[in-house]
Amino acid sequence: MQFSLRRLGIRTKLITLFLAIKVIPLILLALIAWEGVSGLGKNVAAVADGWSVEVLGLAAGMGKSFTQAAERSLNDRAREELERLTTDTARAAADFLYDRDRDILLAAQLEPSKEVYRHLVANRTRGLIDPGKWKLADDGKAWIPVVAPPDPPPTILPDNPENRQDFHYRPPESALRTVQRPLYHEITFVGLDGREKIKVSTSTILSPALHDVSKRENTYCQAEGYFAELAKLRPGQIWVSEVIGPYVGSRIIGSATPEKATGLGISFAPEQEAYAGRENPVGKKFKGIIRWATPVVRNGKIVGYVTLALDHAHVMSFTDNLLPTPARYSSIADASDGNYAFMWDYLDRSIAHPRHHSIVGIDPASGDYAVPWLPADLYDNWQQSGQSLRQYLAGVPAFDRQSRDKKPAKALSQAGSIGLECRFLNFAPQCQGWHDLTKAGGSGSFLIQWSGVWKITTAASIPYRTGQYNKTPRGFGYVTIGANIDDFRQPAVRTGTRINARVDEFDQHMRRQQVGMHTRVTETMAGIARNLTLATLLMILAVIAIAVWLASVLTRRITTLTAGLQRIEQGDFSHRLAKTSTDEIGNLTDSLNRMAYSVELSFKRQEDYQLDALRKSEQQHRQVVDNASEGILVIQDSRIVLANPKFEQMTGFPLEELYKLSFLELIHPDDQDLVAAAEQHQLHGEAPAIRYSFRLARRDHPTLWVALSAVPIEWLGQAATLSFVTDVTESRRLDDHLKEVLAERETILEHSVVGIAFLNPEGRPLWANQAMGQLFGVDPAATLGTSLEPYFHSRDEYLDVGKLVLEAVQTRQPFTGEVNMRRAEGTSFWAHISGKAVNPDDLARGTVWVVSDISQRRELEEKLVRTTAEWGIILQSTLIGISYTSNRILRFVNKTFADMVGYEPEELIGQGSQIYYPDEKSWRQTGERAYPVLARGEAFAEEKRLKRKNGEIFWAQVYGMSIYPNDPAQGIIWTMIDISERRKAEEDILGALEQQRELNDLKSRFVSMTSHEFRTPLATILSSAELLRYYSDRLSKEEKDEMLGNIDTSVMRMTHMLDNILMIGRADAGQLEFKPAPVYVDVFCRKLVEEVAKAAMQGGNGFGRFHYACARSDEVVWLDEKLLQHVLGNLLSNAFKYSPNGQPVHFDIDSDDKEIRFRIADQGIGIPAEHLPRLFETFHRARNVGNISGTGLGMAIVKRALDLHGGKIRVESEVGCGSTFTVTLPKQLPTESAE
Amino acid sequence: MKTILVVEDDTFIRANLKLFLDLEGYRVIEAGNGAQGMAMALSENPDLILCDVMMPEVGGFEMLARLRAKLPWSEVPFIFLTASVEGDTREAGLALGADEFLTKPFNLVEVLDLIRRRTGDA
Repeated sequence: MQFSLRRLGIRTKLITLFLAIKVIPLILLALIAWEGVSGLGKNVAAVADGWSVEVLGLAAGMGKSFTQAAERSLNDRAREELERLTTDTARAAADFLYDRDRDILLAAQLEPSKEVYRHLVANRTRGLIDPGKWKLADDGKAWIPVVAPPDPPPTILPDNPENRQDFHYRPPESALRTVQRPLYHEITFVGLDGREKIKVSTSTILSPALHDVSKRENTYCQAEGYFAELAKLRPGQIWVSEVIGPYVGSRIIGSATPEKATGLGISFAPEQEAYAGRENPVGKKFKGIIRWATPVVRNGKIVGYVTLALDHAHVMSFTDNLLPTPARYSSIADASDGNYAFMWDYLDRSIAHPRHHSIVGIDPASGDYAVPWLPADLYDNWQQSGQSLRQYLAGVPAFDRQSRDKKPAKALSQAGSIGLECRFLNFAPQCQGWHDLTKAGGSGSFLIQWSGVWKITTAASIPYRTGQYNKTPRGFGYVTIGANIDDFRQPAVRTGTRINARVDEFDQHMRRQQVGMHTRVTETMAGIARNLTLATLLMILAVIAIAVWLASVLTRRITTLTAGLQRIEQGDFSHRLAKTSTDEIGNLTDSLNRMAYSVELSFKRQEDYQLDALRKSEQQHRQVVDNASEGILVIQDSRIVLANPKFEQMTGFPLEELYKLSFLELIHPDDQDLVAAAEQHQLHGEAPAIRYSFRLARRDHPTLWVALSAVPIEWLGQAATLSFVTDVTESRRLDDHLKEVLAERETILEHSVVGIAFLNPEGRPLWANQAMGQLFGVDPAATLGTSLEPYFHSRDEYLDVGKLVLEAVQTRQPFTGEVNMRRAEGTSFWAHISGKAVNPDDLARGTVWVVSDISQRRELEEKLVRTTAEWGIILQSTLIGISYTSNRILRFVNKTFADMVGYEPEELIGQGSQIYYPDEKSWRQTGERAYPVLARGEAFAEEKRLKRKNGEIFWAQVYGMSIYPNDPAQGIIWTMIDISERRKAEEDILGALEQQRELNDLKSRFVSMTSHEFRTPLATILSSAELLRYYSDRLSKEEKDEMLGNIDTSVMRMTHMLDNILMIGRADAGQLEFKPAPVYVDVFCRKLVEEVAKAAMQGGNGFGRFHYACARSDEVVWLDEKLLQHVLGNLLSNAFKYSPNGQPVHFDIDSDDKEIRFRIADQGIGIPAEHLPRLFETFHRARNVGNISGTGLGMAIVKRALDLHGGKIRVESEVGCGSTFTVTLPKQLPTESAE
Repeated sequence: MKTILVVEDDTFIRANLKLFLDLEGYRVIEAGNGAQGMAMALSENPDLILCDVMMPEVGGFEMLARLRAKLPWSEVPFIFLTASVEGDTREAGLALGADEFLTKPFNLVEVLDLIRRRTGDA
């Protein structure tokens, strides 16, 4: 390709080039223009699409958020209303029940006679809504009223147009027909022997005969045990029973239809199944009663009891006719559509339900509650346990992992035994939700998925708390209402649908707009593409034509030029080209002609240049020679044939004279032989280059020392020498001076007082001074070159020292040492020697040594060591610890001292003395006390606690004295004796005395306390007795009763005191026993709380301060009631006693599988932390009790009782904030012997 | 009619004293602790004060000390009722300026006798 391109003519190349640079860009431009236009079109479409998507998204998003907001606010409204309906219903029920309390109290006031009672019950009636008569629809799929409901009455419109906005009319609830029914089934008067004396019945549900109700079998469903409870009532107190009625079961759950019966494989007999509102309006109804009872008092004595049996239908009516839908009320309850209300008692049992088979009832055969609907697992486990149901249920946890995932026991569903006890209804998780909402007496709601639909369910406690209904915060029980969430969401759903429709419409419109725009863009693009292609093609044709014409013109003229140039190349420099035009080709012709002329000229100039260069080179050489700083001369046959101005200046002869002289004539006569000889050598070629010094004879000047170096050269074809001469007079003078200085130094060394010597590398003296000779008692000159071995005591010593010296020298170190040496006459002496290499880089230069006699110093030192050792033995062997410190750093300690503080002496030396102080502070304080004393020059003595290495603290008597009173820190001698034993004995005695004193103190406190505790009630007794004795005639009956009551209480108080003291005595003597038995914790604690609160009332404040909560109110635990009474009674009464400003007291009980916890918290004076460790000691009372009386026995009893019970107690207390005691008792499993 | 202030935290004893003194023709005002007693003593200007020693918050001794500090010139007879039998309690009370000590349990006759003597009714 490359080859063929080269062969192409310029013409072809030019045309190609034109096409390349013109046509390609044209096409490219057209393409770019097309690309841009089409990109613009697409962009416009894409942007428009993006806008419409965004707008649509915005519209849809706004619609969604409007719908959600509306839905949420409507939901909140609806929930609020539903919750309110629930609490209103619960309150109405409670009010109704309280009215029954008033009825029974009224009944107690009445004369017990049949006439009076009849009058009472006859006046107590209340309207119940009549569900009417119902029949099975013709298709057999639903129940319908026999009498069709009347058409709705005409609606009413506003008369005034200004009231037209949202005018909402609701017709009267005339569809609900009420029937007056007696409230009570019966009223009875029961004698103290349990026999009914008077009975007035309003129905036949209960037996009209008079019975002995102390026997359960004579009561309704054999289930009423009220007579046993009546004996506990005081005048004015009321007993209220639970809901009692025979259980009505149903094998059909849901609408009772023939189809359903067939599906279950049973015969269709709706009258045999339980009533279930609209689902089974002809079924058997639940017939329950609630009995009220109270003592009847005549002449201050209880003469019997009056009871009223409430028809439970009245209670059920509160929820049965309630509808949580716009319909509001219903003549008949309906559980089928998910909108209905229930009622549960305080133990979470169903007592009112549209389906009567859900209401718990009694099995009249046994008098026990019928088996409720149980989850399959629980039912199976019960069946396998072999226990009775209630026995078994007492041992399983309530609300055990309730979940929709669990299934009911089939056997129970089939048997139709499906009463609802929430605690075991584990396949209905909402049970626990209701329980949680009401466990503190409150109300609320939550959402739950039930039977596949979301439902809202509410619960509200029924605040009725008479008698046993005061056991839990939920009072009588609770009302729950369930509603299908979709029903009350309807307005929100409608709003959402409308908004979505608008959004869809808008979406359609936007899409139409979009399609139109896409079409317009596509049409415009097609037009542009057509025009662009046409224009490009026309331009390409024009470019090709121009290219062909231009190329032809240019090529012709260049061919002419090429021919002319070929002639010039061939050497015809005088040839010139013909110029035919004045354009660029004409200019090129001119340039080529000028170039031919220049080439011609340059050949002529070449020769002139070469001659000129030669002349310049010679001149440069001449300049070097003339300006050299050395004399330069050339000698041939002893004659100077060339000399430079410097040499002329050195000799003082002018040049022309020099050239006439023989070279030897310029040499000092004494040196002429030397020079002549050298010259001869050189000339004979024995030394190619030589250098020597001689004196130059000069004209009219003293001789000059010069150095000459010469080399043989050839000069004008013959041998000669080229010599360079330098003036060396000054350097000769410096040499002489150096020699003098060296001589002086040698004299100094020679006469130095210390011995100085130079040794050769073999260690033999090269030179030694006078002093060295005197040290060793020899003539220095005699030792030169001899071995030094005789000056050592043995050959080994000589070799040892030699080895050390060699090592030092080889490592370029100086050697110093103290060596015992021998004089020539045989005596020895200690010498300090130091030596180093003369030149560390060249060991062959030998070594230089300095030696001095140190015998005297060595002798003193040895003596000192001996003396120190003697003193050391004395110091080390004493039994007293001795140390020496300077600036509180240990400089010396003896062994005894080190042993005392438990260290090795070496560990202590150099350490600060704080090492054996218990802490930094005591170390610093010792210093502050000691230095003023030591500074006066006096001894410092002290007994103090010090610390051994192992941390042990010991007592030491320390005695210190400074050697430098002006600056005592500089040096102090300390002696120390260990006095731990003595101190310990002293402390033991003091401790025993303190204990004795405390014991006496405790005893006298106890005596004064018990005296106070007995004398106060005694004062009440005595003064009451006196009042009764002296003023009996002036006192009212009530005042006298009160006096006697006061005496009773005071005697009880003293008895309690005595009990406490005896209890402590018995506990200390090991006579207390632990006898566990099953205890109803809640019942037991409530009783205890009542007692303690009553006692506290005597001081003016009791109930109302108490906040009591028991997490599992029906729990039975094996406990020793007596011990527990001591523990909790003392803690509770303390909580009141030590909260003098009436602060609240909290008493909470909770438990798990293993243990039960009682927590008693007050906000009283609290217990100071330093008293906590002694809290449980007998007679110990904290200092902040002030004037609050007490024996100091309570907590001691608590502790002893707890120990027996295997329990634990934890105390948290802060002074001024209160105390919290937590008692934890293990749940005792019943043992064989205990049963 | 003479006014007697009874300061006593034990409600039984206080009630008995009130009933008794009412019957004996005195006007009785009551207080449950030293602080209340102090306020009553200042506002009601009683003719005699019967006061317990050991009471919550402000005790009898403190009340007496406050009273003597507030009204140093007051000569209202001050009688302590105490359940303590220790001699030094009695001495400390008398040193504070108490007029008499009655030890619990006390005879009402004895109380009446003392009140009459101290108020000049005897």
